[in-house]
Amino acid sequence: MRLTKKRHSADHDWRQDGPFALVLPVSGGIRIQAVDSAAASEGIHPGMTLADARALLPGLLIATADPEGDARALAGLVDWCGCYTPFCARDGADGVILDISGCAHLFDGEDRLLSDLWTRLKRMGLTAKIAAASTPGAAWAWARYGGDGLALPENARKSLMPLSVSALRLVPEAVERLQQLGLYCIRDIIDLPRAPLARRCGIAVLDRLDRVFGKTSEPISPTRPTAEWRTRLAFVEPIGRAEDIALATQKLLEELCDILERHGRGARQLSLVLYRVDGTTQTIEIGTGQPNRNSEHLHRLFAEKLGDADPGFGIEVMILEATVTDSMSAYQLGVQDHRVDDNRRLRLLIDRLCNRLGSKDVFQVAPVASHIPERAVKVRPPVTGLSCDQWIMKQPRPIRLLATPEAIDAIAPLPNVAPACFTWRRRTHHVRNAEGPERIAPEWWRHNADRAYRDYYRIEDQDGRCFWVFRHGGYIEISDMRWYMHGFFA
Amino acid sequence: MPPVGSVVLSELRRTIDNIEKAPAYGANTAPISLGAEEIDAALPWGGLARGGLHEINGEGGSFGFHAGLLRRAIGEKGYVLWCRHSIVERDTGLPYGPGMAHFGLKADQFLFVRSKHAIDILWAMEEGLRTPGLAAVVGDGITPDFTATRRLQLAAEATNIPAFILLPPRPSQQFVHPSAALTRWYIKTISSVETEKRMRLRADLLRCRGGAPKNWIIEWHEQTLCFHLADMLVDGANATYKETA
Repeated sequence: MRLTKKRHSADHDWRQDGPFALVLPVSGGIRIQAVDSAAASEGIHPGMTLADARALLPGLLIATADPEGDARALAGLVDWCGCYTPFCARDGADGVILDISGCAHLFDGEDRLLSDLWTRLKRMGLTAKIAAASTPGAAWAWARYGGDGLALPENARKSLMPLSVSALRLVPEAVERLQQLGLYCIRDIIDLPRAPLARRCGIAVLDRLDRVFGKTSEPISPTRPTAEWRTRLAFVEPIGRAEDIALATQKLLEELCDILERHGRGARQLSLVLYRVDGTTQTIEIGTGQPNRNSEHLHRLFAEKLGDADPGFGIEVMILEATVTDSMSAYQLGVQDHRVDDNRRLRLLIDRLCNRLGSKDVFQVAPVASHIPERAVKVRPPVTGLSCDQWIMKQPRPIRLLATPEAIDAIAPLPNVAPACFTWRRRTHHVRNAEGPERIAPEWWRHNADRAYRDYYRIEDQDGRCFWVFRHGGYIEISDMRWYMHGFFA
Repeated sequence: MPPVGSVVLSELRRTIDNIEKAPAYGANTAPISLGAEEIDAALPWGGLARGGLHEINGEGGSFGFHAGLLRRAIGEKGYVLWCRHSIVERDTGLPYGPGMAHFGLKADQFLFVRSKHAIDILWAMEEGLRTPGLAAVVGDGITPDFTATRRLQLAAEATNIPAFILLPPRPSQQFVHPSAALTRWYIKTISSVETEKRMRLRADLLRCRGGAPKNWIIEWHEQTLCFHLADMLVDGANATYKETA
């Protein structure tokens, strides 16, 4: 199927009456980029310079073309076409190509599908030329060079014959070469001996010809990765209420979970695509820590994000895809085994937390073999039921550690003893009791490591609060000595 | 002496109550014992109520008290959801594993959640409290309003999971916010010069649903993982702390 999108950037939709053209400054002057039908009937065609066009038709309305905006709009349209088939790709600067094999029955046949597509595009304000054929090449040719009408007639081979050789998607030089030889139509070249033709006009001509008539296959590579497991729900009337969206999601999930269960799979990542009436799409994605096919749980995960769903003018189609799945064997709920059940519940809890807060903000900690206090802990993603090494601590360690040590003003009677008083966060603490030092040497095997020793003291102030402070540096030059607050006991 | 019939009836009512309030299979309903019999006896549940919200505040010492309490609540294998506000990182530092290890708490017992928004913390706590299988839920660095505490309390009651809230440190005992928590504690450190470096705290039970406010001087014993009342002083002063002492 082929669809030609007439190039009207969204901001040119104001459409004043009269012939209209989009222009683009290129080397050698301003040239016409695209024209509407009124302008075309006056003899204006793309590629003309603006001066020539103005000479022909002084009343021509123009606007500057926006190729990037067009490309974005086309990409959006490709996404939207996903409501017809998962295999849709962008084709050149102005086309979309869809592989509808096996999808037509969803719309009661190809004809209905095409007319549905045509009506919707028309409603969006796009003038589209649509053709369906057995090969992408033939569809391309018919959409661009064929007559009116949506689908290519049944006797495809015969109807393609009168089309110009340009319909074969050849480079302009090849077309020119063929025309120099007096070969204007497909009919002229189809029965020519292949070897001399290839020698004269290049092998590309034969290749294109084969593609049009299905002698060489031409697979479509879809823009979005296609998921193996997907469910689709189309609505008679566009929906917009949050409750309806939630209900539809639930229905899709139940269906998808059934499919996954039959195949022994569990979803790791799901994406829900909302196709809006105005040809735009929105994708909502969730992930799970473990393969899962419990529709209730997945629905809860989606419920958190459905608040962001913007129905716009209404949603016509919703498609749910399991983009990543893992094998997941069937299991029976134990009557007695509540510990297994607890573990499962915890995993579901982790999914819900990750889904709302982001997986970076849900974590566990694990020990690291390092003497440097702040390096003794590492953050790891949450895993239940997996025990890790434990800290073996002979020395006292604080219960709370500041992420970065804070400098304090400390007064020590001698350079190598605990401070007598210190000021931390604008409050002065008098030391009643101190213990230490515990010397922690830098890790010499690490590059860029801090080279100074740290002497840690556990000190207690007048109120009984217990702090962990350390002295840093100052062995060579006393003025380099600094005191830092690092943690709190109790 | 009441007639025999009413005794039987009240016995029966209690049995039915127990059946009705019984949580899911396998859940632990025993109160959390602090280890010190005197304190347990003073609390109406014979320890801290397991299915309940407990608020802990203090200027120093609240973390130690909380860690001890947590260890008493979850035991060796329990799993804790610890939800902390990002502000904690700057103000009071992060819970530090090696220090927690001194309280008998292990690295793989914790599941941490952090967020900049108190509303997310409360949501995460409530999700945790509705997940049977967790041993405790901790909210760190937030000051929830009455509605929030009521929700947490109800959720905790339903699943019998204890919830602890570590309020941001405050220099005075005055709790300004109303709360539906079962107990509120104010913890203050006391010099441990004489006590062989044991953590010594003054624990003020400011409010207790169905019980009277009280205070104790307690110590944490690392070997037994218990709170103990501090020993009597030589001059005969009672272990119960007096403001003038």
